[in-house]
Amino acid sequence: MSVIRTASKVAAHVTLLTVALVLPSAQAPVHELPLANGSVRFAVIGDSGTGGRQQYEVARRLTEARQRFPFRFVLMLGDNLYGRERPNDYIRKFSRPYRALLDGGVTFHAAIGNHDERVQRYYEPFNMGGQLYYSFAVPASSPLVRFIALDSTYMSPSQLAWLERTLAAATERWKIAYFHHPIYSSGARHGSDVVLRRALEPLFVKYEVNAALAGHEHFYERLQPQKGVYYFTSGAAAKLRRGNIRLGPLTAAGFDQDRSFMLVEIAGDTLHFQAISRTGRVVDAGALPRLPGE
Amino acid sequence: MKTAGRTCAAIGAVLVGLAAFPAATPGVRGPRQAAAGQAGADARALQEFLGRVQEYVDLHRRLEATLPPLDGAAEPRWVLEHQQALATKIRRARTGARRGDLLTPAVTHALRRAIARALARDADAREAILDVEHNPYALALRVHAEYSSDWPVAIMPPSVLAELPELPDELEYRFVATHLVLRDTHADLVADYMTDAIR
Repeated sequence: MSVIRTASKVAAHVTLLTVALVLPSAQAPVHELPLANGSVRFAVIGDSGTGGRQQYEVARRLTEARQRFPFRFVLMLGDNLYGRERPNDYIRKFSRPYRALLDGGVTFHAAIGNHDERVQRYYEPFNMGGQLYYSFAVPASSPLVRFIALDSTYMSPSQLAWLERTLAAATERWKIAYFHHPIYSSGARHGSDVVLRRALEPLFVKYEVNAALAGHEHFYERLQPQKGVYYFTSGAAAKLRRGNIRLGPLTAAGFDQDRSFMLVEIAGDTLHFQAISRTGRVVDAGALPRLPGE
Repeated sequence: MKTAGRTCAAIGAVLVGLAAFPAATPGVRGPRQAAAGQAGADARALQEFLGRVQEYVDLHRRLEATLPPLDGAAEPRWVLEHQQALATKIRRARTGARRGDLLTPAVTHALRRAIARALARDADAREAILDVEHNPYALALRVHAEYSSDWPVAIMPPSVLAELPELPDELEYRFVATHLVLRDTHADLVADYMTDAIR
């Protein structure tokens, strides 16, 4: 059965309540997250591990957000710790800024970035299970979403074979991949990682991955759906490259004026999201339907 | 765990070329025969390389088995202590290890050709390798040096990894500028390296 989804079908199915934000004064109409019964709720941070003031500010904003949107886990999109990775760095750059969330029972699930040491996979609070790539399904009782964490710094034949086996075996309604290097990006500093795209996109399309989240670019961007896959870049949880988005046909919405994170709720066949700035402003929001295969 | 089968397939790809070449006329060595000879030499070198790699990994595993397992390391100091203890054990066990012990001259030539083939087919891969966020020439490469967390890694393009012999989990290839490092991922040290892997 063909799974090719045309741009026209995507356009017909997408319903968005959002405004592309590049000007700091603009305010997106807020799409409220529904807090639906049985939904999967999580937050997303990328390039977070600086230990700096901005990381702590974003962390506080995340904690505040959890008061109204009780997410259960956080996806980390790599560059979880910058610079040295001594014991005190794990504390200063991770467990201290996110202490309130950790104490509240929130779990973190990390992907490896280009600044991360490989041994982070053994650090229990990152929930990597000793692996550089892994997957998990939520909720455990009746899985709705399969999350697949990839090591984009080292996309070996073994990892690609594992990815294909994992996707082929996945029975969840939603499949979401997350990794560090974006395969679609409007960033001036890095841009789309086309070498990775050639390896990953065919699998994403073949096995109907619904969304892919990446960091590395230090801003927020929601990309136009590509071959039926939603792409987000959320790499500004501590780092920022102000003004780095080159607006073009790839961008559906972008925010590169301040740090940011995401809140996501998957309820039935809809992915609801908000991108929130360090100051608490909603800079992008919307509801994306699960795109059907052909 | 990467199987021997996957690794042998990579070597076999080099050997396939031999079957396509006609028998050589005695005393006459044309371009095809030369290429076949080179492919055969590369395949032998890479096979030997994998043998040396396995010796290194066997040692690594014996030494790591003497340390408490890292599974479920809740405390970051356990992670660092394990890494440092393993690195110390490896350095002591391989006293006198020199550059070229794993990446012999024949191996470096074969790998250089394999990388060149990959880059010839994937023009974007070179740019991806060299897209780094630091000055790689500031790094002092030497055997058993710590592969510092101050060194953000360049992406290893899938097209290049597909051309290279697959390594066990304990080792990985990393480019540092145009040089290729064999990195011990558990001990986080340089097991060996070759210069000018990309030309």
